[in-house]
Amino acid sequence: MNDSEIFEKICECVRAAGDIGDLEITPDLSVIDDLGMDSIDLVDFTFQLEQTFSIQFPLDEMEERTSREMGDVPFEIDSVLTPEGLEHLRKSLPEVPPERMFEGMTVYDLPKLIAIESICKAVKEKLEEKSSSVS
Amino acid sequence: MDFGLQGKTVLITGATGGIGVELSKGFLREGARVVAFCRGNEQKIRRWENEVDEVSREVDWLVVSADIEKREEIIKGLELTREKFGDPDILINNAGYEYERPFLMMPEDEIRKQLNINFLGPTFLMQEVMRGMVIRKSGSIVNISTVAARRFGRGISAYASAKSALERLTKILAVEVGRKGIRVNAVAPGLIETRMSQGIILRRGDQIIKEIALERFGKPLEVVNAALFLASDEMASYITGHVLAVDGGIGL
Repeated sequence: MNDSEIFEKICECVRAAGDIGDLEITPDLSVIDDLGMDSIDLVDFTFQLEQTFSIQFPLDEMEERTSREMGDVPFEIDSVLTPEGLEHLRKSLPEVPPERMFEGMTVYDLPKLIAIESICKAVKEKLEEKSSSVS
Repeated sequence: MDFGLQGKTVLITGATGGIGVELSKGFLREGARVVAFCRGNEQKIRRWENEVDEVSREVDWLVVSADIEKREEIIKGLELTREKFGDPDILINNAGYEYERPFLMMPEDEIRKQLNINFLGPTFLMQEVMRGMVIRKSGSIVNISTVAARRFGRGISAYASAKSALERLTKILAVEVGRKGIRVNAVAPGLIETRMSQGIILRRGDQIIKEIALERFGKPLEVVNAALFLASDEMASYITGHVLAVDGGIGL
């Protein structure tokens, strides 16, 4: 499946999960701020992605991966991202404009960073993982 | 009266109990496909099969031995359900367990068991079943509560509290998943003539009946009719987060 096919299918999942009317979906749009999804829409969106691509998105995966990559360095203290946490986030999400990741940011702000492009990247990684585990 | 339940897959827990058997028969009569979750007592299951067989000639049903106290059994039971019928369209959380004893004498394991069967099991089942409902943007859940969730309840502290929690969850979930096309309601039966209420009816029946406006105990079928109504998208399409009392007007 090429990038454009992945993007189109993700757009179908967005339309199935959210109430976005005729809004044109572009890769830079944030699923929360721009597409207006709330927590239950995000759960719906995740289910739609899992079903459409036959992949799994465990909810604690991002947390686990971050903790693995950062080792003993704390990602957050009292829910506020540490400077190292912020730096890690910027490296992990290069597609997100840096100004959206600011000092004093909390873990509760993280879902707002999710853009369609980030989803495309995550789905692509999952599909590659799946095909390499099959072969 | 057409409830529009033909071909719908209905998962019913506590299917071998007094109300459970009638629920199964009721949904089968309406042409639904029934998945009966029950705990593995073979004798009770055979009896259930014999009872429902007479109404199930033209529709299909599946018996699943699953203890809803164990999440892994819920998941396994749902896998069997999906293999045969696909995702459930309707969930009836009917399983209930009551252990009557003054609070200060209630053993810890009995408190846990009552919370598990009356609240946590139904909670986990809803979590598992709602996934498919969210994807399809449609589904109906009916939790079977009790009149004791809101009043009475002496000697049944854990049971009544767990059912109270289930009613509260019913309302919260109705709000949370309503715009995904899922309705969540509850039925709160009063004293219904089943084996579960046999003890209290024998001990205090004469006294209690005076408090019931209709001056009689309820029949399982009367609870079933309320559940059919709430489960039906034809009949109750604009009803969610409601607890429907089927109690003959007890204590009015």
